[in-house]
Amino acid sequence: MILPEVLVHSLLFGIALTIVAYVFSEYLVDRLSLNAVPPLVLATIFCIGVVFFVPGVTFQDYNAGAQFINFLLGPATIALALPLVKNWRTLKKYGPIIIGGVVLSTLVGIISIYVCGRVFGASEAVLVSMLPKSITTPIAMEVSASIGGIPALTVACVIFTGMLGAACNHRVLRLVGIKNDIAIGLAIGASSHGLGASACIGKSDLQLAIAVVSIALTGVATAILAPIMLPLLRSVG
Amino acid sequence: MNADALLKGTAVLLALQWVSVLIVNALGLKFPPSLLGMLLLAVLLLKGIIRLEVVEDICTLLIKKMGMLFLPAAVGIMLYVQEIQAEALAIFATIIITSLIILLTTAGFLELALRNKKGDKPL
Repeated sequence: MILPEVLVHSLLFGIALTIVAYVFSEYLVDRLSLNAVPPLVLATIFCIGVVFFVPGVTFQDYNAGAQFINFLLGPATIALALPLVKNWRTLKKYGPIIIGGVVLSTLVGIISIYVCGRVFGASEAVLVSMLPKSITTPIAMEVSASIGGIPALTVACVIFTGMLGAACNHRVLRLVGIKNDIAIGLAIGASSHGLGASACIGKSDLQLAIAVVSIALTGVATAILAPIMLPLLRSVG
Repeated sequence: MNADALLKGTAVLLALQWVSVLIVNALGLKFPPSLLGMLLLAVLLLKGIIRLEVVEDICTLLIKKMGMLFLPAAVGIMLYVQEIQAEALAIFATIIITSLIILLTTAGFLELALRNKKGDKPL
């Protein structure tokens, strides 16, 4: 036992480790200019390292306190109303087009993930867990739980999707000649949520604002459509 | 950041979450309660029932540091390493292919739709 028991077996352990690991990772990303790496990824590696390698520390010890941080995802989702309200004018102006794009991307997303998962032979649990992978994590976890997926596995897929998006989205869109900021922002938010959208910071404020709106709306659309479409898709094959 | 606003804003968010959980449970909906809370807050802000300044600080804080809130769930991945390894190809292939499909169809649709909208009204 390296760490004293009184420290590990208290709520302090999970809460402190989470916050310290994240702040430390933000510092590292900043100092080493690792802009392509979200602090979350470093912090995850750090925490798993501690839980896995430090003798006498178990996941349960960590999770007892970490649950309190996890709980804050609820209020954080509610907080997404802020960018929605702040960009209300632009939203209203392009309302029908934005909603059309959101519904299209959600439908295309659910169907393509289901078909792809089937083609590559994913098991039922993994397939269902992947379904909400393009939406923001707090909503994805709730959708995953409500349709019978494994929320932790969904988080893994969501994070990988976001990292891929942050690294590639702008390059792909430039390659096919998409230049409109509204189109870019909406597509990025719809395909790779907040992590992908973080790549818009410093490029274009309009892109970022539309991406945030897109994240919130695709989240709502997926929460509504996924439970309806899953039985339909299953009945087809 | 203003300490009073932070506390008031937190109270508003938690109260909204409470109400949302009650509504979702009472109606037996399959809908994430926090998402209902988001829609409720948006309506309350747009109608001016809650002033923007009350929730602005806490919302900004939560959104800016949302990455940290995912950490416990991400650490939970370690419990599913076997499942991920067993189906690594299916998982990664699906993620890469569908991300491209979603990105390109959405961007393509918007580019065309916006071009048509501009065409309606000459600049």
